[in-house]
Amino acid sequence: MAGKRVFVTGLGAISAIGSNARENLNSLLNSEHGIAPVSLFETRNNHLMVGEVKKSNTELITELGIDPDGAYTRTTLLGLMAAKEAYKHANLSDNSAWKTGLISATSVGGMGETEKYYYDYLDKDEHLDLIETHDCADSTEQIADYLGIKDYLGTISTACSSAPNAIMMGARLIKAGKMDRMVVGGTDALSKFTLNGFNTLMILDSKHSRPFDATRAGLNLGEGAGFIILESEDVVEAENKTTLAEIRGYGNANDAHHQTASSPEGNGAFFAMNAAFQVGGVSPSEINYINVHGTGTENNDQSEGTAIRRIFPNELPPFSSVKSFTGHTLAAAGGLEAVYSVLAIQEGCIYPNLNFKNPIEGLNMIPETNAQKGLEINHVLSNSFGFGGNCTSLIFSKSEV
Amino acid sequence: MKMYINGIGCVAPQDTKSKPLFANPVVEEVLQTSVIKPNYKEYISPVKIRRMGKAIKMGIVACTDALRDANVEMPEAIIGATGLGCQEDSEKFLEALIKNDEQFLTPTSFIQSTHNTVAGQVALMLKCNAYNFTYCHRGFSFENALVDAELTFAEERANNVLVFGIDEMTAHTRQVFQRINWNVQEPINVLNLLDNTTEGTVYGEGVASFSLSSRKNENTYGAVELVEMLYKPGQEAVKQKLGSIAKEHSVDLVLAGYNGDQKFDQFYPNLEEIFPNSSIGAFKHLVGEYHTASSFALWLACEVLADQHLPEVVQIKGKNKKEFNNILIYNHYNNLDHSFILLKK
Repeated sequence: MAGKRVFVTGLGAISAIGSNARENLNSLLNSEHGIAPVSLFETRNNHLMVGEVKKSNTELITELGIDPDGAYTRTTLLGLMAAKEAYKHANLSDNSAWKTGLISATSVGGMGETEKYYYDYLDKDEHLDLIETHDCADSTEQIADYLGIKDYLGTISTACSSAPNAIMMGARLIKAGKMDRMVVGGTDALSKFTLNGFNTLMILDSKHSRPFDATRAGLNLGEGAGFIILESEDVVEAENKTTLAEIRGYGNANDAHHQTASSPEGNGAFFAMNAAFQVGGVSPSEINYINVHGTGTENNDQSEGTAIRRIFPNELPPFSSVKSFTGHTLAAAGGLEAVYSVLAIQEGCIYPNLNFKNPIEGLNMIPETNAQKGLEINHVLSNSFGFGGNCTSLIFSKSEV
Repeated sequence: MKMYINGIGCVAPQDTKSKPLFANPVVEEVLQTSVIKPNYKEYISPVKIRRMGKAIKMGIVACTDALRDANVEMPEAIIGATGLGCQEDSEKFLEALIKNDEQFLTPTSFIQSTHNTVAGQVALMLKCNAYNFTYCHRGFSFENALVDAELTFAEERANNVLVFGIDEMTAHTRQVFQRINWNVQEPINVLNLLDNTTEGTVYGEGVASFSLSSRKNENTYGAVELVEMLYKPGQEAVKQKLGSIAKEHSVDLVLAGYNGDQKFDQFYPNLEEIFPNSSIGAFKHLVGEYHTASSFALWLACEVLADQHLPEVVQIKGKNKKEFNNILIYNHYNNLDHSFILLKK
């Protein structure tokens, strides 16, 4: 289906390495990571390393200028920060002229608050207002209300591939002519629930993660939100808008191997990347940078590496994982990495993959370990894979290419 | 783009298999409804049954039934919808975490706690590498999934798409909902839910699954003509939307999402006025309220089209239609998410 071209016109990001897109970019290019022991909440696992947003909920509420007596989860507050930044970046203020929608992604929703008051809800009156904020859609509706968006709302929860799926669905709605403009991305706050969950799976590295290194021993969790604004070519033309990139390709597939582990041959990842190339009419040889999922677990990097090698058997474009900067921010990860991918095109840069020393045997894959600037980046492939076998790949391209 | 329903499957707090449908509906004094447990052994190996959470099991049953009904072995996309996801496993993991102060935890319930678990497990069961999505947006979850399916057909990426809506209710969540008067405080006869005079509804659970196709065949129940969502629309916009549907389509039956909680039911406009020639039915007095309850309504609409019979217990007012060609489902969740689905024979 040819359909309408879909452009990225705004970016918003908040993570352990910065409270806006620019701060995130600077940290990436200066190799300044945000990984440190847990400090957001009391936990028996306070030795674990995570990527926390260095702002309290109170600080976020003040910055957003919202009612301090409202009921917000941290997931909502992070989402509001990034969505607001993207919305402003795209110079949006009024949603009436174009059909405008919001698709957001989250995996934990309000779990961070539910775990605090789980039993209190039954017999104490103090936090009853938070009950309505538990489900995934609460953050989406609060962001929609804040930005005055009504025309289309959706929430996606496909574990660690959630935000790219939100971006993909947003792009498809525009391409099909159903919507003109979409705010898309994802948000997830750290919670004891996920920290302990990943810990029981024994896929957390107690030290700083080492994606794609032979000695990698797991991931670090993180929190944050990443949103982008997508607009159709009609809007761009009518309003003479500056575009940051075009979203050319998207592909979604299921690994169908195991509820949490990826297949050794990386089938889901392979099919997702392949589909993205097909939709985008972009060939693998045109890719200038791969933003890999690269969580730093034994299983992911081996499986993803194998899948990438199936797509790129010979020439491998430069690639890196940013997870050792931000931690794995779950549903938000692909949103943040969409922002980073667009910035890579804009700034002609490639981000370093921290803590890499030795390549994984048999893959012959060496990530970029130093920040590269002044490059011509025309096409970026961004991968996100999750529990439930959910795999999504996106291709961002320079607008004029 | 036409989107046909060629196969259906449903697990609900009612018997969904015996005909005539709902001739003997389950009548119970309850605070929440629970699905009638299917014979899981007919669908899942006993080793797996033991470890799987309820949502996964009932999801697999409904999806297997829908695919068998449509005679589809391998769907080309699996699109799930759930408001609250796998509540039972989420709570199990969280309770263990709290009780044991983050010690001695095992991963099984965490693994099964993610919202995309059911869609992932269905893919795993079928060894289906195709497109796989899960929508979790309150009263729009199932409608999001239908819109995605519509797009998938328009993009010519698939001929057969499996779509389902699923939610499970636990005692804890129901108790929490009682605290904010979303759920009734005293057990009530669920069939009388719509006459409830107290605050709150009866929360429930269920799964309805659909094998959708771009192609009509001899097993086609109907075509999904329209899927629309209005967020916080206000009563005028709802009336306008319903009015325009009434004008464009000759609606035989309106299935409305009344849940017996006056603070939310008051937002349904007078349907007899807008649809003077239609039967008006309800469905939440059969299954309870849940985020993806509109999927049950769509399943019910398919059955009505196939049987050309409206179960007595479903009709609450309006004309006594004998022939059914167009069925409209109008539902809203807590007056936030209003949705409209039109099924045409």
